[in-house]
Amino acid sequence: MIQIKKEFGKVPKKLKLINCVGGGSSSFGFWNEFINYDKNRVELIGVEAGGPKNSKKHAAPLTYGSKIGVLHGALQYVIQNEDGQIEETESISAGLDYPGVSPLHCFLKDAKRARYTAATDEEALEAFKLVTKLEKVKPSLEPAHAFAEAIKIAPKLSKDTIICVDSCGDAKKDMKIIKQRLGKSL
Amino acid sequence: MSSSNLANTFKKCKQENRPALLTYIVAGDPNKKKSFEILKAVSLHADICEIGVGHNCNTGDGKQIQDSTYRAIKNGIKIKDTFRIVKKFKKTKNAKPCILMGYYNSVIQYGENRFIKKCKQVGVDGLIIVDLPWPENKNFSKKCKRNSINFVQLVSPTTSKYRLKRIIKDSHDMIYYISMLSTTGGKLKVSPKEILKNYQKIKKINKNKNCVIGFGITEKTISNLKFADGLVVGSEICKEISKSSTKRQNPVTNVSNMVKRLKNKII
Repeated sequence: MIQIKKEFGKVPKKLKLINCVGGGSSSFGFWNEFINYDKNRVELIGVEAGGPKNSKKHAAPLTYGSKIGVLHGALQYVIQNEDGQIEETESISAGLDYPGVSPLHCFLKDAKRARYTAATDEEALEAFKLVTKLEKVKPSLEPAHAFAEAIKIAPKLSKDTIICVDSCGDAKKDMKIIKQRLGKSL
Repeated sequence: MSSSNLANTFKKCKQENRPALLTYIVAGDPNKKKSFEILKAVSLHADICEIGVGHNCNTGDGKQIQDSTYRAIKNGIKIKDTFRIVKKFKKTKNAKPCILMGYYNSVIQYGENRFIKKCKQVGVDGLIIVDLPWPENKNFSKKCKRNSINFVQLVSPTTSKYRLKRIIKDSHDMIYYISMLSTTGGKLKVSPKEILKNYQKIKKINKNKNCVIGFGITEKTISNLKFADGLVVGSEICKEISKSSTKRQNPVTNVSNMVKRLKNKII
């Protein structure tokens, strides 16, 4: 909030806060002070891990409509089969690779305060490439998912819409996998 | 509920001046057919049979029970099969009271009411839902009671006095005391004396509740805990099934012999 006010003087009329969502903790820090704003003014967008493009596995229980269940002691939307066994997930990003999601996000989804979507491994990598080329940040593969969504929606938005993406991790930890997938070191 | 099968079993064991022996196996381990046979063989020596409803995120379990669970799931066990096994078992000559032990998500996905109804139908006597603690289990345990199914409350060395009193008040015929802070299958790292001290705390609040002790109980440790109303052996049995599978031996005979030895140690 302090940074937003410093940059724009006030909370912009059209603001989009995009954050990756695995368990969901970083997005709460990012969204917390804006949660009481009208959703038409401050839209909260959570981006889950869609997994590899051609795989059925993912880590996006909110996006793909998983059923409610109990995992690790909490009632939440969780990827599972009809017998209640938790399904395996898949994502390029370790931090998002989780079958459930915080009950708070489940509530924000049901209350329609936040919107949830997913980016695939490939989209996250493409976003990483573009962001590192154009900006002075090197996001880890978790926020690369959030950047992917920003890149996807930006062309459709009006000129006065402000997008903020939380670059909540550094690519240093993902060096090995980025090198493997993109063939370049940082 | 003084006339429940579980209560009667504890009463009978008390008359024989010994603790009840409770065994735990995972339904469908190593496969559906064999697990039924193991259950049948075990019930010759055990007083109460705990049957695991395997869940692949079994947060309370250590390696041995996890191995059993994954093996059972891999070999195709579903909840409906578990109910089928219990139903068939309860019709056998030496059937013992059955307690299903599992995780809450299995219940939710089946449907709470439907689950309880099915339990009643197939002859389940009690339920242990590991990740449904008090007071979150209040509604569910009431529903169980209304359907003559014992909901087993869990207490541990760190349960406060405040909670202990209330949990015991809301408990049915049986209370499960977790001997130590560990997952299942851990080495018993507390002394029998320490366990006895906590056990007596529970009995002092209500001496009529049957209190069983579980976690870390093996052939080595069981005879030191004979003071309890009941003793649960799980991981050691699961380990025996794993061992039998690796050695290509018959788990039915091996487990049955083990339970017989366990029983002899507490008579």
